[in-house]
Amino acid sequence: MSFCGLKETSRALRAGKISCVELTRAYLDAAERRNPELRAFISITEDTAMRQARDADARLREGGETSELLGAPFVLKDNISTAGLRTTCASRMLENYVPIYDAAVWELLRAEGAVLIGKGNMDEFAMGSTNETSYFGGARNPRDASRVAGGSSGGVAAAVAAGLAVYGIGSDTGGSIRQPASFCGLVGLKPTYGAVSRYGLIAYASSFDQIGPIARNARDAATVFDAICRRDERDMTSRGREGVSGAMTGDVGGLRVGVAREFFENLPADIDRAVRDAASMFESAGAELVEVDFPLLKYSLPAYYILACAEASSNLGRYDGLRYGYRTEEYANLDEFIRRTRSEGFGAEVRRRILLGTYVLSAGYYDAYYNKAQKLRAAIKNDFREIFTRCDCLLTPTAPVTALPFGGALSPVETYQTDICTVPVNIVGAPAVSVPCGFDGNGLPIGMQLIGDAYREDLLLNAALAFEELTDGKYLVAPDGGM
Amino acid sequence: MITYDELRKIAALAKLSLDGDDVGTLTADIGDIIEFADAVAGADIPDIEEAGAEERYPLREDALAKSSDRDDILRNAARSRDGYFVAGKTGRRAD
Repeated sequence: MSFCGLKETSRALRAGKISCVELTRAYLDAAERRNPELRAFISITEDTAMRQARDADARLREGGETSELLGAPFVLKDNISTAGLRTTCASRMLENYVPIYDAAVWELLRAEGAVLIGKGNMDEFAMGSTNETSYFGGARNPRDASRVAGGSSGGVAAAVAAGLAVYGIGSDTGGSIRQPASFCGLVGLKPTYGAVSRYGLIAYASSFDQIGPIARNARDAATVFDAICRRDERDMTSRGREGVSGAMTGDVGGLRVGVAREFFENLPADIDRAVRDAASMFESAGAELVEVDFPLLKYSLPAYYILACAEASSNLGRYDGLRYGYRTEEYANLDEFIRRTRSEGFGAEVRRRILLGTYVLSAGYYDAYYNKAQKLRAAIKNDFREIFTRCDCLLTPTAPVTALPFGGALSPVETYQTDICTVPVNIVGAPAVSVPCGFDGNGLPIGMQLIGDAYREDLLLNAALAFEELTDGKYLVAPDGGM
Repeated sequence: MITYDELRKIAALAKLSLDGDDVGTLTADIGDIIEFADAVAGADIPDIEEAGAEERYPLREDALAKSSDRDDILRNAARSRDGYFVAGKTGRRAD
């Protein structure tokens, strides 16, 4: 029972085949059993889960509830604030930090009756693409535990793929929902910037960060998205949007699918083939393939890292050891207190990004790097605007690699380059979904990315559903968890 | 490339200490990252206005609202006293 999607879980609970307490107990036991190997969770929230399970059972007995999320166990990335429950950002800096308020998404999901199984492992402060920067040791891929689960929401993806949660909530600054979804054979939605409130999300790069679901299939992703895409005045960039799941027909007749050759340059053959096969599949179902150009792709990655690191260097300025977080023991004066606190509390990748961000914002370099990157951001936005006059969505690989070996020792720049396909989406604030579309020679999942114009999550998730139906769901995580 | 002296200056601005780092590796890593970012510095981009930049986010009403409780906030501080955060004494080692 414990390895189902949302619809099956909800049906079983409503039919009384299993109580939510029994279901939650099964998930908690599985999480405790698998976590030493997978490190999917930083914290398993047993007391909260069981309390919510009892509440869900009471609501189910009363009847009249319609939410499919009621009673379904889920995992929340550990950079999303949960009052009274430790929220670490996978950092020594916040190892013992307990928020005093709830993130908006957690409030919304709790109101639906969702059951929180645990807080998902991640790259430290969401800075990384492999989970290897987690202070607690990175999450492993359930399909092959010698491989990474991806990053930065890798623990969330590992938990869902291993059947330790029905779905999960991650955050995506440069691909952190889509890439781990791709590595683990799941559907990951990065919503339009502003569709989901960031209130309570611990900031990495505020003009890029967005919260979204990681799920076993497109319908589940849509159901979760519908529950969290609400306007929230506590996040001034939040606009919310209408729900999308009611409009999903699986019909892609007449859909104009854009393909830009720049995303396919230097791709491994099996990823290239899988994504092109998916394009042909859409065409056979009545979609129209449209060739488009995106020459600025080559600038997207460095522009992203300049801007995101600049924002990070500012956002992470708040960690001084005085009000919360790690605090050094040895210091001679206040300046040394702050410097030692920060250097001991942050890991190497976080320190590198703060240093880069400070460098590009410093006098003498600001115009050459930060201002130039902002101009590129504007140019890339204009290009996307033009692209979406010619097509309804853009089809690309999610990543130019499949799940990498854990401890593979890529250099920082080599690691950054694996984000090439996902960062343009965050630069322009568009929505995008990663959908499983094949396997490589090692049997590892390949993901394709569908990018849409702002607030077209409906179109993207419908196309994802169409692809699942056209391929009989054969690339999704199997109903038994696939392990 | 970046020199060690430049890196130390940046670290001071970022309030980071380089004491525990392998300075050679860190300088090389940051140098590689800056070289990677140089693609942007060298890009020939026209001075364009951002499309849609006129879009503004709605502001909430400017009104009094409940904030967090002081004792709740202090609960995450390593040291506090009489409702204040406590920093270590400056100028000498803390007690």
